[in-house]
Amino acid sequence: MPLMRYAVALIVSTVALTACGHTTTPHQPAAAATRATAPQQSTIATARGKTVPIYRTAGGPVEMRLHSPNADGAPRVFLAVGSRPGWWHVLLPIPPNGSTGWVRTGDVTTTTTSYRVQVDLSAHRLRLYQAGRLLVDTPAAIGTADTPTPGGRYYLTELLKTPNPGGAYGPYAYGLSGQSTALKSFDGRAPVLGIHGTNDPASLGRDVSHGCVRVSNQVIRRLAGMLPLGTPVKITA
Amino acid sequence: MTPLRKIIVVLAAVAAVLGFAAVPAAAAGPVARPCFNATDTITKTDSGHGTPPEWANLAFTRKTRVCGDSTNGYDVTLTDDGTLTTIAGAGAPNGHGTISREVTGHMSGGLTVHVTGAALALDKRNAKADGSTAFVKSMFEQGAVLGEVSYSWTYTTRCEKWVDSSANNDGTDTNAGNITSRALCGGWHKSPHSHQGAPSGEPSAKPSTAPGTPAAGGEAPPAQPVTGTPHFTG
Repeated sequence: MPLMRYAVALIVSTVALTACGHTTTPHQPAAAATRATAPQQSTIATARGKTVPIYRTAGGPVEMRLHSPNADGAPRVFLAVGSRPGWWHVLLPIPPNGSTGWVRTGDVTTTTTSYRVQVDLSAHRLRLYQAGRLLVDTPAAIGTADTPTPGGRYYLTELLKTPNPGGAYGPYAYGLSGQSTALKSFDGRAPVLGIHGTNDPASLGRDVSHGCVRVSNQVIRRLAGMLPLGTPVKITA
Repeated sequence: MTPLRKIIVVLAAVAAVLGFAAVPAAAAGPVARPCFNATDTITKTDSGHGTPPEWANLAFTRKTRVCGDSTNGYDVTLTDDGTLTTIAGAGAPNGHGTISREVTGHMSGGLTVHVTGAALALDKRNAKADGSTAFVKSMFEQGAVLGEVSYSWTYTTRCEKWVDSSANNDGTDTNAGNITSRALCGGWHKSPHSHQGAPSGEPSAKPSTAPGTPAAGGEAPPAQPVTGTPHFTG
């Protein structure tokens, strides 16, 4: 059960996640919800307290609570996809990929970002835009046919500075809000997708990973100095 | 001759003697040479220690003052004052971090240097010279030799300051500060309440238009990394 993999990070309310409609398709923005911000700005919601209640609907019952910081020590953030008076409609870092929920405006602080990352799987490219302007266009390694990088809409949930910059993940690794759809676990934990560096530059542009997106160490260093948590990441075929 | 006239005559004689004596004394000392002034309006990019190095666009007024000294040299003083606009994606000027977005701010400062070895040609100065010392050289004939340059420029945005100075290792000392264009003064964890909008003077996201809908705060700063072993699907 996917929820169990988040036992460390989640305090589940009396209503089980799988009983709340998250197991099939993500919630769609309510018709009355408004766009969060202008198209080239995304809104990032950051937890105020140690837990953030997540509601299935604005004004509905609490569905779960997410800890902040998360299990790796990063502040809990969400990418807003809409809003209502007193509420943010947010993308959630839980399976299935693309799940959404609602948080009260009083439970989070909000900032914005003009950055967005796009991963073009067929072209094996990662592109970074700021306010619509292309800043980075770089080759990327993606998942193999058996462990593909799943397309979808995600956001950056954490940034890890690795203890071994010369290792397989390079100097920095971002966690994404999505997970592999082919693996049930990875290294004993949830198969969370990531964007990170590599000690194998020759792998860039190829299908070699378990689902993560690899870029050069130079690029990941540059990204690490620019992107806030919550930056939207769109992975397309 | 009345007593008053006697006094006047005596005073005049004394003054004449003193004045006569003063002329040779002045002629024996250093001869002060005149100063020249010029003003230029300059727009240029500024290079820091990051990658890529050009971190800000500057627009400023430069006042130049050149005074001849007693040994056929010149004392040059540049005084700059104007604005800066950071360049998103550039390396931060002290070499650590990256400029996250475009913000505007203020810059001021200047340099002093003693120049020898060439005649002044102030009208030949090149306001587009690559660097301040090149600008100084451009206002002299060929062969100008610049002494030790004492300089300091201060760059400020609403939340940050960087000082590039001959006294702080060209802006790389730890106390030199830095500019990364962060939106929230005081750091990530001290962000203002979401409903208060962005700090004054900084760009803010447009709030949702529907009445009562929440408004987002200012631009988010770059993520603060957490040291840890990745567990992602490498």
